[in-house]
Amino acid sequence: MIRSFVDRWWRFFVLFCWMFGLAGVLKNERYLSFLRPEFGVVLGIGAYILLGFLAALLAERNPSPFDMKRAATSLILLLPIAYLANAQGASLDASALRRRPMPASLFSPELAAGMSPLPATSGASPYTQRPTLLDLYAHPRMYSGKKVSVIGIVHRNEEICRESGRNVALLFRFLITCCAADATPLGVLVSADVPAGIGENAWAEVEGRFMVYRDDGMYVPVLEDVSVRSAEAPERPYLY
Amino acid sequence: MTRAGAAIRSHREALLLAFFAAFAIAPLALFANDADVRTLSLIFASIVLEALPFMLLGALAGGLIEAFVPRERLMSLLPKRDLPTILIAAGMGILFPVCECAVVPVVKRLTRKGLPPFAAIAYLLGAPIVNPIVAMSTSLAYRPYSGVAFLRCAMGYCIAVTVALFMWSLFRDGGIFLPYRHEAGKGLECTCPHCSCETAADGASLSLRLLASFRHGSDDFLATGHYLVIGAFIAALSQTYIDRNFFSGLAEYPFLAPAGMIVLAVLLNLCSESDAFVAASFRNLTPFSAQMAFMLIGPMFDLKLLLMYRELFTGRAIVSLALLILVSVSCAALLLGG
Repeated sequence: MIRSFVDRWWRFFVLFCWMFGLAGVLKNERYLSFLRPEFGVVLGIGAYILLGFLAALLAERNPSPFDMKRAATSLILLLPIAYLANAQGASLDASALRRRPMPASLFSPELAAGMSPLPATSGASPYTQRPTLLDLYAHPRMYSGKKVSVIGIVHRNEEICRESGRNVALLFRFLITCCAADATPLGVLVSADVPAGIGENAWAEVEGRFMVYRDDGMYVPVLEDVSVRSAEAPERPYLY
Repeated sequence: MTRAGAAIRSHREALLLAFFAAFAIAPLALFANDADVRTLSLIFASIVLEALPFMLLGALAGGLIEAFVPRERLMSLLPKRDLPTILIAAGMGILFPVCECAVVPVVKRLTRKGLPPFAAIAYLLGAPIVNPIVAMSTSLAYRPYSGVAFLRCAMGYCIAVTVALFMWSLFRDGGIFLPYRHEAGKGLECTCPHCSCETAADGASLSLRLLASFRHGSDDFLATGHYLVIGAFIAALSQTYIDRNFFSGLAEYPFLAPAGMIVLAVLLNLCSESDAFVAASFRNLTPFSAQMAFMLIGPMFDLKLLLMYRELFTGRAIVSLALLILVSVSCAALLLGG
């Protein structure tokens, strides 16, 4: 009897768990820790397809024998849900940053010497005093030389300090195209001591003059004359 | 294969899968709060969440094809000769854009409906690259150089056609696809009353056909989904523990740079709609030929695809396909300048 019950319902159980998992990440937009906002619609469609699959299985009279192989594949299919639960509330941080290349210009060893600042341009672009790091990367000329206030994650790295010859930290956030797997770090060097109260991986708001230095076609974004204070993590941790 | 041989093979597979499940759950069970395991969780869940809806869509599309498209209708739409069919199939992604996660179940059903195997390979390899969404994301990633998107599509098309033609000459006598499991009477048997599986030809009611579509779709998802999960987990492991900067270090060696980027693409399992942005982040770090190799190989042959192909092709066909893709992409990289 147990055997026939398992044969009848194992597929339903696996699909139902996934349906539950998708509903869970859609609730309160939890999927934003993993995907860019537009994926909400795609996940919703996926949930409806799963609903259709469940309905079709309910209408199905013939059981599908549950053997050892199906037990193993079901277990594997359920693995991501366990990991999903463990990742709730987390976002990529400095440990992920270490293994991903930044735009090459950022770690230029010429930071300290001999570079001319990029001249600022005036224009009708959407200037704001509180740009994101993506704004700075997208419109470097517009923001060059101007005082801005930017939010990001603080990363202290001895290698950067050694290469730049200054006591600097990195303020960074991840840019996501589709999901966290394709996250690319965007960062600016903060040319000052970061207060001891703001630890590694902490969110901080840095106010300072944005400069982009250029040397042999390499660009190095820096915030100078800065004040640093701790900040709340934004609702959406990534840039899109 | 005899019944006893099939049973032994099935048990061996089950043991391997169970071993993988135990291996994959271990980090979570032992070090759930470790920073790297949290990153692993995030990336693993991200890859699966990103791919899952597309895979479900692909499984449903396959089910709809199974239930609504009669074999005769599909055959009447195709050219009678193989070469034009291959040439058309490699570019069909322009009309039916699917990413690599969705394309496997679709191709599985299309071949059952009579799409010639080599046209199926051309579509399988071409569609995830030669499609407007991928072209758009590539041109966005490489702006202002919009020619990169065109080059990627053109090279993807040529490789899809070339590999399909080589497979045609290697497997002209068959042995490319696994025997269909419904026909073999094992695995996920199709048991709905109209399925042997010609629901479309039997004049069944719309609701019955829809039900059959969803039933076929769920079967395909349950039969293929674990390959996606395994591929995604290995990709997440590599993303968490392998330093990408190592691959940019290979730029000093002209021939190693494309090889390194090919390995990276196979390990990362990125979606073809987003991989251009990762490739573009290697600008100034690796030569353009290596970035292009990265964008060409990923949608045709990465870890999750390699595993998903097991649901479709024989082992010999997978090895041949993988080698042909690797050689073609390497040649393309050499053409672009090493």
